[in-house]
Amino acid sequence: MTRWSILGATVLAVPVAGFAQSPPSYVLPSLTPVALVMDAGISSATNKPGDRFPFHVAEDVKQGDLVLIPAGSVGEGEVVDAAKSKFGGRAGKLILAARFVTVDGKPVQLRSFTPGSGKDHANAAYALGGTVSGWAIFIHGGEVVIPAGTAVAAKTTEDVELHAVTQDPR
Amino acid sequence: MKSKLVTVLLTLATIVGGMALAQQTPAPTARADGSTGTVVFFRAKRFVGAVEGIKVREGEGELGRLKNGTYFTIKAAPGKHQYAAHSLYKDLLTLEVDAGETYYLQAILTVGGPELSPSDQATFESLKAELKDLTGTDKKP
Repeated sequence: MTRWSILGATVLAVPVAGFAQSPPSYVLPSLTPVALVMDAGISSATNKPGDRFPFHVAEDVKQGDLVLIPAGSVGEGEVVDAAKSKFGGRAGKLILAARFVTVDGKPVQLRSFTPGSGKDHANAAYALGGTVSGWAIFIHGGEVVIPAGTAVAAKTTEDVELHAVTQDPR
Repeated sequence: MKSKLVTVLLTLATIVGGMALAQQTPAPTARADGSTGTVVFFRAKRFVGAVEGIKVREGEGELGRLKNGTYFTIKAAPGKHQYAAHSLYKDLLTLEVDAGETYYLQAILTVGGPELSPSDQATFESLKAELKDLTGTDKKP
């Protein structure tokens, strides 16, 4: 084999090997709903603005049959506002925001934190207050308490390129 | 002399025209095209403190005044906003606005003073029929 033919074979082999090692990526559009589960309890009595809290993804986020954010991926949120209940009938208040979920070592930015699964809250505000009927189950002694295990939801902030983790087996 | 008179008349016409244009131009508001969020401030009808108004401010600017059984809506740029409810005392609330989302904040007058709390669409909709919309009305009656 001549030197030129060895060089030619190398040039042809590199892209193939390259494709084989990095799977194709897909764009997950902005505002894609992401169902989450709180991994820590938050309370208006003890938490303060700036506190971070963990959550994980409850259901695979898919693009067609491809899983782009697998269930179990962990992320973080932040307490935007918190106030203890006060004398005179003032209930505690708590305002939370989703920040990111880590996928394949890369943070995917989140926004629009909201209670529930996210599928039925297309236009919902995120709001956790002492006077909120939908969150009344979380009010104890005038304080807003959100236990670990609570279902919440968020949306992706921007278009993000992700590798498919697996193909949906169903 | 004649040319001076023409100049004066033209200048006057420009000033008057400019004033008329200024009066017709609406006050700058955030765009309602999905690049902003919407914040609804409301106050349910309650007997306690019914006669006392609650001013809603952001910084030094007054956003509106909530009488008993009223609401108003504003457009807010995405990001953090700190709103204050004022009467005798004040209560602060920090909100992080996302574009395209709607937020509901309820003002209540308690024994301890005004309270501004996060609320939700369901609560607002259940009260809306008996609330007067003050959006766009004079904020300082």
